[in-house]
Amino acid sequence: MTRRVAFPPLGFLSRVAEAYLHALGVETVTPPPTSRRTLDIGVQGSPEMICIPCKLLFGNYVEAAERGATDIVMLGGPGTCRLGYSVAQQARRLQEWGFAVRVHTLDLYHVHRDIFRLTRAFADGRPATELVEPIRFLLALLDLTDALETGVLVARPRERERGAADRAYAAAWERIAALRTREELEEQRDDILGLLDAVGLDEDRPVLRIGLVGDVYTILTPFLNHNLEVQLGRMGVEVRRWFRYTGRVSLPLPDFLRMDRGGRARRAGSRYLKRDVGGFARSTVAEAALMAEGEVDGLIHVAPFNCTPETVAQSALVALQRERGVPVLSLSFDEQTGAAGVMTRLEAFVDMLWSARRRRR
Amino acid sequence: MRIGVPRALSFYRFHPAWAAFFDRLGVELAVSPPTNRATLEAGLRYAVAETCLPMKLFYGHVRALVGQVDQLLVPSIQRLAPGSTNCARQIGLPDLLRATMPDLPPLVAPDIDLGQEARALLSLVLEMGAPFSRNPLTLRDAVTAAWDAYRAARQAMQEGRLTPADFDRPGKAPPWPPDGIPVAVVGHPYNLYDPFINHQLLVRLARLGVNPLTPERLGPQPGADYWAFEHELVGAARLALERGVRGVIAVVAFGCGPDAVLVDEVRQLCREAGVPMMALVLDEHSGEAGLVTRLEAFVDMLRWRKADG
Repeated sequence: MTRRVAFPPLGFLSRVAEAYLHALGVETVTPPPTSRRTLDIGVQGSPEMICIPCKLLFGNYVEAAERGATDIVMLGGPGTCRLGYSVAQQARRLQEWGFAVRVHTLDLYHVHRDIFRLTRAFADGRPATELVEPIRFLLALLDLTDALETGVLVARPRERERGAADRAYAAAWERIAALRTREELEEQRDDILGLLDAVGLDEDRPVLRIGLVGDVYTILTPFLNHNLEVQLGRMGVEVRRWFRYTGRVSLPLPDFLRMDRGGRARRAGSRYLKRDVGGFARSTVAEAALMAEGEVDGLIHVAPFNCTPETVAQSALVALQRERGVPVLSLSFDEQTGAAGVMTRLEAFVDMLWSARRRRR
Repeated sequence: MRIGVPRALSFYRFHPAWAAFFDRLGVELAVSPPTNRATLEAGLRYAVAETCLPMKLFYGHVRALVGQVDQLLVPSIQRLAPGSTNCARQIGLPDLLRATMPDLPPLVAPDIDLGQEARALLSLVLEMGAPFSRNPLTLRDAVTAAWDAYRAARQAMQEGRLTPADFDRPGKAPPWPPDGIPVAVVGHPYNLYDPFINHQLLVRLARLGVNPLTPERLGPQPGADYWAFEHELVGAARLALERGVRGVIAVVAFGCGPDAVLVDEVRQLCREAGVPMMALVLDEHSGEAGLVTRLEAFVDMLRWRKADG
């Protein structure tokens, strides 16, 4: 039976993963976007008190299996957070539920190692020399999508015609999904990014800058965060996500010698959270501390309700707010969170940041 | 020189070791008073809303010590074995505390990571002991004393002569009914032995004619741990089931990261063994009456099963 690989829906990351798998010549199955049904399945198959990303991911895996996936890439890895433990429970439950799928763990603490490991597994014995080109394609893809993701966040609050930036973004993704080789990508790169540049922008419009920090799954799942980034964009806010995928490979230097952004962030954040407590907590706090040095008007911290590492980050951000005077809004999401409540809090926060900026003038 | 020890979290596991260690270095330890309503209220003022009840009580115990002591002992418990991990809050405990309270005395905050090589542990001891003694022989003596005290305490607990609640005032014999219904009560010691957090669970069980077998009484538990203290739930439940307990009560805190998944493992074990299982989830809103009703119902059910079977 031919291998059909599924990657859980994770915003642009899953699209990059699929394009990469296609370049490797692997068939993929696209699970449906995370929805109410995904949640219902996830709740049925997960411990009651686990966080909502674990529940949703399990729902994603089941929906992928229902669509005929033979291999599922699952997120986890020891030390990450509860996902490291849940991933084994989830794999077991998939078997109990009668899905005969092979599962592959993508260790979030060793992404580079595991990308290579999974590539080898899916390439079915092809020599390593044949894998160099697909991996270079993957790196180029990440570079391109980083530019696109940042671009749409900048364009959204400034667009003259509402929705124009999102339409250009969707069109760009259609082009990216069709790419198969690095040559194609390099040829079309300017055209693809040009789609976004063609959106009419009002460069003089004053916009707020808000740093978005916290759990990556929550940031990348509009179903869970009630379309937070788009809503903020329409309120005239330029969102800065704390993570980017390129530029993260740095020389193995001790923190105090690193001049790149990651190193500077680590130094800024160590005052508030020195130890690695799992999840994305330390990086979240580090980036937040760096952004608080005048890069943004305020910070929004998002996390799933009951996320253990992010509650640690939340406490550290309280200290950051106290010491640096940067306003922080903490939002936690679960299956009970209502869209109206989120919107009200966002609007109030944005109003508050505007008046703070006016006062500073 | 007085070092404050909050009566919370790792106090219930490691206090005998700390007490012996600092005693050899000539440092006086001061343990915060037992938990009460005021402890919780003080803790709630500092904790973020979403954190677990044991953390909130930890903050409360720290508040009881601030101003009374010269330093505070707040270890960061990271790994007990290679390839394992611990709850984020326990790893980041010193960082959390510093971020939360601006008016703290200096912290004695060792990173306890037993997943490392022996050399790292040695440097940890030297670094931690340095402010109190520069003599490596004194430090070695203190470490040996700490291990001995720790092992002696575990032995005493297994034999029923000591409970973690009495670590700082030994000599009290716990009142477990030896002929009571054997029921495993599994969970982390700070959930089992703080009578405030669980509304005197163990005493109530004893009064209902139950012999509560806690992880400490069961003795060393089998199994490799992913979470540092997984054995206190899963390992203890497995061991107790092998020994033929008639029921299992898992005591966990609401919002506990590891326990949210571990409770499911315990439930699975009990289902396979055909033994009744109850999960008690603790938070600051859990009422005493609800707990009593559930305990009575559970114990009645165990008696009926015995009568039937």
